[in-house]
Amino acid sequence: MLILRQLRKLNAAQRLQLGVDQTRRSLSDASLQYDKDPQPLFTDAETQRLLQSMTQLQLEKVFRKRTVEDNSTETKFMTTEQLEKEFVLTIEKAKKLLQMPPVVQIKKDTERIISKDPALKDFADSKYVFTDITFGLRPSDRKVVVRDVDGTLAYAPLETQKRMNQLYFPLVGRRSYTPRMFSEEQLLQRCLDDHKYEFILDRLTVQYEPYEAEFHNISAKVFTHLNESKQFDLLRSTRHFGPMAFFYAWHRCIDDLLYDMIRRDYLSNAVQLIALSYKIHNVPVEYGQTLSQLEALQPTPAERALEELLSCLKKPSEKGIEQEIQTAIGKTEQDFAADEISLKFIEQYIGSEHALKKVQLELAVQTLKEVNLEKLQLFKGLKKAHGVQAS
Amino acid sequence: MLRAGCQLFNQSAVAAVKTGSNNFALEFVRRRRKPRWLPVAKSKLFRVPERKKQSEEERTELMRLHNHYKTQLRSVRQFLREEVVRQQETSTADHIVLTPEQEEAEFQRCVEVNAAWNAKIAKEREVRLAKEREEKVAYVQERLEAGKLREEERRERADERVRYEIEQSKSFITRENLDEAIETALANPVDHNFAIDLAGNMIKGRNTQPQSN
Amino acid sequence: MSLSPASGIGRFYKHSAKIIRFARHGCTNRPFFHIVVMERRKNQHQPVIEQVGSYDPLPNVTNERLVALNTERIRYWLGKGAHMSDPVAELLGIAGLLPVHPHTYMTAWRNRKAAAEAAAAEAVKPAETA
Repeated sequence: MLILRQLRKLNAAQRLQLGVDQTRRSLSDASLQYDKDPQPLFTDAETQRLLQSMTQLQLEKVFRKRTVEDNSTETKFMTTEQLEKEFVLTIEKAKKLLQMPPVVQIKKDTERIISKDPALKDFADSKYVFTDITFGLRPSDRKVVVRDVDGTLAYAPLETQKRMNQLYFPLVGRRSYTPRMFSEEQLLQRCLDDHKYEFILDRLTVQYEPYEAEFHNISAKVFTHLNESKQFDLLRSTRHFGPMAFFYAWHRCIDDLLYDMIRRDYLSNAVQLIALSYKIHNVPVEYGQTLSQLEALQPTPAERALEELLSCLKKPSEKGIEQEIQTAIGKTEQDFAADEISLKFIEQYIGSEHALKKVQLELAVQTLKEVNLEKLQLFKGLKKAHGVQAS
Repeated sequence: MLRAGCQLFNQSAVAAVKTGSNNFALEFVRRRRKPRWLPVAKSKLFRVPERKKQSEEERTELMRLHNHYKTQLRSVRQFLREEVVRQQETSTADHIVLTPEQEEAEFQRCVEVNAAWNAKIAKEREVRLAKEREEKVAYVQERLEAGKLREEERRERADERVRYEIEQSKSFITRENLDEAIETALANPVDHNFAIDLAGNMIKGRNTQPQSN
Repeated sequence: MSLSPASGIGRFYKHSAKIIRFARHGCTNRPFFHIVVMERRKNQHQPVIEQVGSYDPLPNVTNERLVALNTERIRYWLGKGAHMSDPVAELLGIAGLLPVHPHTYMTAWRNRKAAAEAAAAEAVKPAETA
């Protein structure tokens, strides 16, 4: 009996050791950390505009059915004015849903001792945790103090503070224990291999605060996996696309994302991505002018979505022949102009020393150019055939 | 090993017997205490509970601590009492005290505001009442004219009737011309019998043949 | 015994003596206390004026005893002149809200003394066996 028990104890100890080793290795895997505080750069107005523009706003994706309890829809009769108003509200709502989780530095846990009382040593056999449950405090303002067994009174470490907050004021969706998905390596790996990136990131955002180390590690892991699998479209038009692009730009690995953007013909987004990386790394290249030109030529994602919504109100007879040609080709004259500007900028980037996968990018640009040329010719031909004057 | 297993088995069997076969029969331990009116138990009659000895050192130390504690707590309580009073003063509007002059001025201001409001409303009411009066007059006028018209029409209709009756009365049979009328009637017998054929021709007379045309 | 709402259905006189104390809400062998404000003369299971915290005396998985205190209301009631029961006063002392209660110091030194005696006994025993 005794020997058996001893053996079991030994095994348990070994397992514990193994577990510790595994976590340590997993931490070292996610080596991509923000070396300095990224928050001022991330919350900068220009960066936010770039990231929002890159995220795009596809209404079908924003308002798709989710795995929540209530997916019900409401049907109403409305006049045209009411409908237009409702459209504007819908866009606002979509913007809110696309609010990005912030990228901030990992918060260091500092020990803040309030008082030390050696006379209180061994006053109890376990420590006391006191939580202030005063009504109406923010979770970050809530004071949690710990009286240790040796009589020291100190502010609780962040982990305890979070636990107490969750205990007394639970957040919907956040677990008081670490979900197995995040604690066990192979489960997370399975999720990643199934390309459930959005699911992981959503749950991560709920479970962890943005300043926690786990948040950074797991999101870094997801982004690196995504960079390898190149399924960037899964995150497009979700709230995680902005932080992802920011992550790549910060760690100088935008080339795969750039390739994806060029292949999908989101040239202005590609320009914005390059501009973002220039901005982050203080590269002395003038990008403001190109951006402002593009902005003048193309509407913002929100405007575009609104236009799309409003266009379904129009009868087909009201749309001119010009509109029809545009919808058939999918581009307007302004788009062609914008493409030209952005292609120039992208080629300049590919030529510079910042691009890593030059051949691939060049090929993509070349293909796109050919396709664009064909489209342009078709566009002009159609216009001529229908007798629409070039404006 | 084997023995341990056996023991385990035995224990569980005993437990099962104890609680009965169903799990619902939970056992509650209900202690019954000694009622107050019963005297002290015989075995406890001469038991003197031992008093814990407190050393002199500990006693003085505790005394010191208690004195400290009481003093500190008193000052903390004082602080908190002041805090509560302060908060009550600042957080509610009941405690804002006004001088009589200020109160009078406030009252005057209120009166002025009220008067201005009244004047404004009076003006509005004047306009509204004038408009309503006009409307009423117009309505009554209209009704009167309509009544007059109706009366005239009625008179017209009555006159017509009278005239018609006078016209008719010329051919009335009276006592004077009764014989004359009888004679006329006898002289001109009227036969109201007639037949209609399919073509719609009226065939008068009782014994007549259809006219051949 | 029904659960009493946190802020009060308990009726009280304006000038009656109030007290901040524990009300036991656990079950058999599992104590759990609400820290409540109520009239001093009432028993703990009657409706309270207000609940101002909770106290779980059994250590949890991470070996902590959890206490929740609505400090704003506690300050208010103390300022209003509410009394405190000894365990609550001890707890507030440990929390650092009030001065540490002498009883806590006493337990501390008694525990230390007992531990020292046990250690001494341990030290003597191996010497005897050897």
